[in-house]
Amino acid sequence: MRFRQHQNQARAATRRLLLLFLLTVLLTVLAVNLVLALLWSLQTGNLLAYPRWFFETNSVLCAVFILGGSWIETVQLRRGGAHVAQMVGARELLVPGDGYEQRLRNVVEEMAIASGLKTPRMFVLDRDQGINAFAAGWEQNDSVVAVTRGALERLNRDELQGVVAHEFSHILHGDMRLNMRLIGHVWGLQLLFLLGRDLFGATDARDRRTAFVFMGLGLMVVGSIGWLAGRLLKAAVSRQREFLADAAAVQFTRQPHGIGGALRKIADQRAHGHAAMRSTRAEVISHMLLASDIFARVGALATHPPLAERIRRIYGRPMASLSSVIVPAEVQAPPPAPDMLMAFDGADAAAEGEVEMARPGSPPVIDAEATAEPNESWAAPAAPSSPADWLEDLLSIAWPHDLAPATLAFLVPGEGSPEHRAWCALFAPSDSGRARHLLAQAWSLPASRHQAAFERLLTRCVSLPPSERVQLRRHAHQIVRADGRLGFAEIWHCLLLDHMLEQRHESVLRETHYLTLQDCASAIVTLTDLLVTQRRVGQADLASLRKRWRGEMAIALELESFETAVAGLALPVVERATQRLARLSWMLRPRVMKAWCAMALRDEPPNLQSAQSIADALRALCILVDTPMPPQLQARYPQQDGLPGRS
Amino acid sequence: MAITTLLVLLVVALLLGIAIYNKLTRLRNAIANAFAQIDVQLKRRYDLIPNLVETARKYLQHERETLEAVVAARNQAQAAAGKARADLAGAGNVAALGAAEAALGGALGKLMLVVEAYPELKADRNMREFAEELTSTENRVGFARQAYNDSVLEYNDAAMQFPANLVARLFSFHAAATLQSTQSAAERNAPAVRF
Repeated sequence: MRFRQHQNQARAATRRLLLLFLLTVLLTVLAVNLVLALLWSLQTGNLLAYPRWFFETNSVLCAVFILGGSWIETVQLRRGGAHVAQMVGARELLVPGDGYEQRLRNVVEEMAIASGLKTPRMFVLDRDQGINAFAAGWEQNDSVVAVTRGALERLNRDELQGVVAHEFSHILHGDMRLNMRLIGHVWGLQLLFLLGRDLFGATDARDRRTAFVFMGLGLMVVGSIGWLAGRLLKAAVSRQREFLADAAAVQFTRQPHGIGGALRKIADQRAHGHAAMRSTRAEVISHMLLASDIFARVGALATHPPLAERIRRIYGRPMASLSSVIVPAEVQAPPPAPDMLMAFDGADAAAEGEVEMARPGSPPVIDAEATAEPNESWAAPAAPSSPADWLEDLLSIAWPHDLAPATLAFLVPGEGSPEHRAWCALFAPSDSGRARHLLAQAWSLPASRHQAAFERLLTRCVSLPPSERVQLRRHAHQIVRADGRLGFAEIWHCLLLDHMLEQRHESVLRETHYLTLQDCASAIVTLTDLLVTQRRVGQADLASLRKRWRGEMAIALELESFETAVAGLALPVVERATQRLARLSWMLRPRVMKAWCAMALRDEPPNLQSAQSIADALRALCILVDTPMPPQLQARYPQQDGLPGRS
Repeated sequence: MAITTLLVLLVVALLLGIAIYNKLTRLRNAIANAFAQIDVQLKRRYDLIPNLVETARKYLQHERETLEAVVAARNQAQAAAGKARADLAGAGNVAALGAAEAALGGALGKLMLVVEAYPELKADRNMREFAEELTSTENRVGFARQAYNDSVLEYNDAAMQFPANLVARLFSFHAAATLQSTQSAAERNAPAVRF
């Protein structure tokens, strides 16, 4: 087949490239030797007398440096396409969050059929409004396709298909391997340049001789030659592959308007000065992108042929650019209007409900059939026997709109509560049978597994697109505040939801300065007070009990005393306290946690229910401050319900 | 001397024949595989339709015939697909499947026209998702057919060229039929999943 021929060509190109790379290395080594020899003779004034092993040492060091650099980067890249995608900040598309993402998943699967390849993993670059995409991976098996948010929103279905087909061509023709190798090699050559720059720049040291500065300068010059050569190689190979991929995209989709339209929209974005990629490491993968950025070097250094030329080859004649505005709902055909898919909120739902009532003779939305056989629905397969299975099923389904209702179902305490009404207002009017089914399933979970199930759903929600995450949090606060007050369980649920969906822990991780116990004293007091209040809810001697607990905490943590004033127990105060505690030193966090658990779980609480709620609170706290569960807390939960791991 | 030459020629011819035979077998298997891929996508479509009908039924109390026509066409197409799967080379099996699929496409197209008249059904969240799924399924079936036709073309090319055609005749490698994308007027009006 032609594909195989292309692959062989790509392999031959890779071999040629390797040869050229080795040649460049050799030249670089020679140049380094020349520079050093020159420097040596300038220093000693003798043109021919060099120390023993002078050239050998130089050559070996230089070669080790370049090849080592290439090798390290290649090893990094060997970790697969997913690694490259994550490197530039892409989010894996596990559960399609909205109509756009559902469409992407479908389009990728369609192209997998058309090209006869396995479906690659999909990634989305959320923050990029420029239309772009890339494929990465070492093998066809671990390939990934990443698409920017801009491409999802600004292309119609056919154009998205063209773009995906273009990337599939890169996968099929073995370009990814070539691309990855190029990244590694060029990096190795660049390393020499960087070393030279460091040597040249480091002039402040006392005993630094001018020779070092000259050496640095020399290395820089030599290194930049190598680097330039690498870039030339990279660009020359890449340009041909782009034409091939454009042609293959037309072949797969059997129409030029898909990829052609996408390129014309990119041309429009260029004309309006839209940057192609925002990621800081985007430069590294510039030659893998669908279209490289606006500052792309012209001529021999450009990794992509000019857009106009690509468009001309696709259509056979020059074409004007297309407007690249976000595709609005009305013109969005044939797929459903994605904007409308997302615009599902309370107001919308209420309006739908009214339409239902207004139609005479029509059955109510919740007709007998829908409630009697909710399992017949394709999306919600036959009801599994146990609640745990239900959770597994829910987590394995691909339907995006079940995730939010199911997660928020855990915020609803029971039938007929204000929270229940709020939840129903948000989710039930449009799809009552299934939504109610979800709620019933959530309630049927045993209390001891409630918290774990909520956490697991939240870990899945993390992969939703940002807009959906924001909406989910807004809905959660709506439900929780439905009855005008905050229960203890609600406080913990809210904290957990905000913590996990905001991915605040990432910023905490980057924090280099950790706090001491004394710094966190007031945070510890606040949370201790909260735990005491929750445990002895409705009991009289709260004040004395608080005092006792504070005292015990002070002893357990070997602090002077805990007589800090606490500013009430409002949600923001508690939130700040947990955030502060999350900055406590790694080694100290388990100690605080242990002290709390020892106290809270020591004497039997009033009843079983409150024992569970206090355990759930401690469990949530473990996640919030990012520390493992102490053994006595762990023992209260079924074996399989461990804390969700941080990825 | 002459005998040796003859023997060498015979051996060469035999080796060539074996090579051609193996190649044709490989290509024929590729066709079966490509058909299986269509089958997978058709099954996706058959699975999708009952749920589409289920969603639509809540709103379309007065359009029972349209819905029943879709279900009937779906069942017929499913039966035809089963037959074609069992005996790919059987006379007219692939063609019958094509016809059944065309009928299903027509029925779906009619249903989608009806949906146009019910704004609240069109606005139903499930319905919108189904519309995307249906579009995708149509595309998948299309791409799978494309891949099937590509492999048929490659096989037929290989089997008809000299000297492979001699081997093909000898071991009865019949020419395979491509799937016509439009077998009837009904199919030319592919289900418009436009909203």
